Amino acid sequence: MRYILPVILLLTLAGCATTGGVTALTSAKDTENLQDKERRLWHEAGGFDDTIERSGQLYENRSATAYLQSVMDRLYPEFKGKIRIQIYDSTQLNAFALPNGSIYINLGMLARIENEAQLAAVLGHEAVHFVNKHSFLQRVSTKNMAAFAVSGIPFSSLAAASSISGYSRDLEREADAGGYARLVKSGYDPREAHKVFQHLADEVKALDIEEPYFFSSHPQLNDRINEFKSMSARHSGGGRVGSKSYNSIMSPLRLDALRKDIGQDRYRSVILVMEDGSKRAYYPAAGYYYLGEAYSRRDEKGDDKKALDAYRKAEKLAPKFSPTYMRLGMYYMKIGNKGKARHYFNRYLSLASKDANDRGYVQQYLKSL
Amino acid sequence: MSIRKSAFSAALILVLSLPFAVRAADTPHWVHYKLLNKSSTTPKKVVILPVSVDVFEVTAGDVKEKVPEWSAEAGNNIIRSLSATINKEAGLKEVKMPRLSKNEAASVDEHMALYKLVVNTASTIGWDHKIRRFDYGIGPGLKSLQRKTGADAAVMVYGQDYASTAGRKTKAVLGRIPIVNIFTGAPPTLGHSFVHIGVVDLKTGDLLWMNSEYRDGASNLRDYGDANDIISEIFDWYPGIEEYRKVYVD
Amino acid sequence: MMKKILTLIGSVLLSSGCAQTAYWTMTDDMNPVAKSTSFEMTIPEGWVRTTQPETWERIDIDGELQTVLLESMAVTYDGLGIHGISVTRRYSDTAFPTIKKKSTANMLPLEAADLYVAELRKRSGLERLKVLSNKPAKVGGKQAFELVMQYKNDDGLRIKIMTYGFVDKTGFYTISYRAPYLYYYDRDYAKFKKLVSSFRQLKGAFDPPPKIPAWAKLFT
Repeated sequence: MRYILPVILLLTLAGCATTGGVTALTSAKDTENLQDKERRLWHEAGGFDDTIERSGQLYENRSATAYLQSVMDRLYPEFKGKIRIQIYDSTQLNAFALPNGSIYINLGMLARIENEAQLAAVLGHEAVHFVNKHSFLQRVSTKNMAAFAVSGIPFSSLAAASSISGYSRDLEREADAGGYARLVKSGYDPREAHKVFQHLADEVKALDIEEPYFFSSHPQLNDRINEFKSMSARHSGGGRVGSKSYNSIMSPLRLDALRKDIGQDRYRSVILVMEDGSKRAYYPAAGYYYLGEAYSRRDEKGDDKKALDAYRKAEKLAPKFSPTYMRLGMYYMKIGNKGKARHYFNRYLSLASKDANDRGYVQQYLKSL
Repeated sequence: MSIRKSAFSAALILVLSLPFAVRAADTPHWVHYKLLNKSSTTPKKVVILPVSVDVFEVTAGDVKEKVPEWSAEAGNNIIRSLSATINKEAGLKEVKMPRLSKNEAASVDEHMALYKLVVNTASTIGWDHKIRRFDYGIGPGLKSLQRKTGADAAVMVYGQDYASTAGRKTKAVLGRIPIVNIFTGAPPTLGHSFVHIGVVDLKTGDLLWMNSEYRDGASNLRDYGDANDIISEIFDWYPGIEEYRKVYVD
Repeated sequence: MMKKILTLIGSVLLSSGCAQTAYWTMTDDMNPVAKSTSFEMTIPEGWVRTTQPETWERIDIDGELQTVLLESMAVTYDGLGIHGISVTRRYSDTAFPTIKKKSTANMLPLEAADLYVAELRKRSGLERLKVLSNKPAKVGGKQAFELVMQYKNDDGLRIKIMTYGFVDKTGFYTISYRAPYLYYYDRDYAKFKKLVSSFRQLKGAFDPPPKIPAWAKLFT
């Protein structure tokens, strides 16, 4: 035992975070000197990047992507040009880092995050996986990569192991600690960090799922929330939150995320955000339309009234959002109120774009009334 | 894998491969009906499209890792061998692949993706009427390549090579030793190589001819000799019009 | 053990179907009409169709494999690996099984279309499935939807899907055409439209739904 401490001290004094003989990256330049096996992993990751791009799995939004990149470059200036952020087109709450510096953050995660500091917490965490070569370490030690099959990220052993909680308990803790340090160093308010995991915990609860099994070997969500809280309690306070800058860019993406949630029958997620005042505050008023859709989809006792109330709120607060009028028109058509049905259908036609998908249906409904 | 499970799997594979095994024993290649009825002629000039060859290293634990340098080496061997074989083949001449614009390259990529989808079905379909009248194709979308190169047809290649690590090879040996294999488990399958080649009419997209070669165990596409051997074996059946007609049409 | 024996037997039967046409029937001018219990349609000459309709399928619903009844026929020229037309009737209670929704006789085509897309996305895991258009249509004299969707496979190949669907008291019917966007989709588009216009619902649609065969329950 008396020899262990000096050894640990020596390693720490050496100034590099080494794990299992693998040396962490210190700057972009280090990526030019990789071992053979690391280069293989990079190449595989590059192939994975190509697959994501050519199969249309990226969410294309230049200004949002540029903004995310700027936050990452602020957190890790020494890796500028090497760590590249893209938005992955999935509404599930996740993010993943590939061994070659490609980091993907899901649309769903971006929609749920409330400010730049929370974003920085996610990006800071993910980048540690890259800097400390966690993919390489885990790849070398993991026997059954298929155990990480999860939805919300593209299925492949590489991506699954790279997800926000796809690593072992120790590596996740390392990423949490490293990401937190970067957050503070870059001037962000660390008290925002634990809220990211709170979002995940809320989602797990709302979807009524057991904490996804890839959490089962890792620090549970609540443990991580408490860990971040106690770390930030030691911080004197203050720091950049960046609410305005974040939300001015992400607001339209949030509506898109709601639309996609409904399109994939993830109505519980929509109800979670739109019925929680603190979360709803970040969504455009047209989100009430999707709340209406969510209740229609859930179709439990009393949901038809809840749906109608939500559509009415959307009508009042987002009067230019055309889909609301189509749904209200359909409601009145079904209950036999032709006058109101015609009113809403005509309103829809006056607002909807000429190539709107539902135009044909609305014109047909009007003819039948 | 338990012995019972592996026996079941082996039986399943045998049963499912029976119809195709019958096909493969006759001729391994396929010939488009237009060549059989002479409404098309065999191409004179061909361009070799970017070759897609992946080489994987497979460990004792079944983890497959693509090796970029090995894949590049295998790809180069295939291209070299293909060039040599084509230029040796009577009546065939290779035209060099030109530089493509971004849009052209994207179109070639997508056609390659379509090609893979088509040949995966075409080579396993087993329907008599499709064998007798093989009429698969990828459409005329590569016509611009014909205009650019003057080639009549494109040669499309894809292949895979699985190389076992030393650990996997050891496990394969030990797994065959009774009693020892109680501890090591059943022997894993060793590496294999697979190359598929098709000749596609650039004007019509007709898949004029295709053939493939699968080799178990010791074959290695990173070795030029092995790659050349496979390519030669494949092209031994080019164009093989009369052989095909004799077995499947007449 | 029983399950494995049955799988092996099934594989033998399927293989023999692959080598011959026991499972598939070639369409010529002597047998242009494919008939099932609930529907029939005219198949393009030279295409093959499944000889008998599939009457059940096994699908993953929330991580559990379940047996769901349906009536489905497949039609193709080059093989289902490349392209195909599927004509399916789902019973009302299991019209959208993965999202656990039923169809009702008074459901509007637009509502059915929305549920169908959600079902497809969830079942296939294809979050990126895009709806290109969604229009009202008519099939067999009934109000229907016409959906056009697209996605890219991992190799970047665009796959296009056109689906007609309608709902009545006997269930949810779809006629779906899937093909690569390059070359195949346009090549067979007219044939697909002709098949759709020939679709007729039969009296058998109003018979009570069958029960899951006892032997299929062995797989449960």
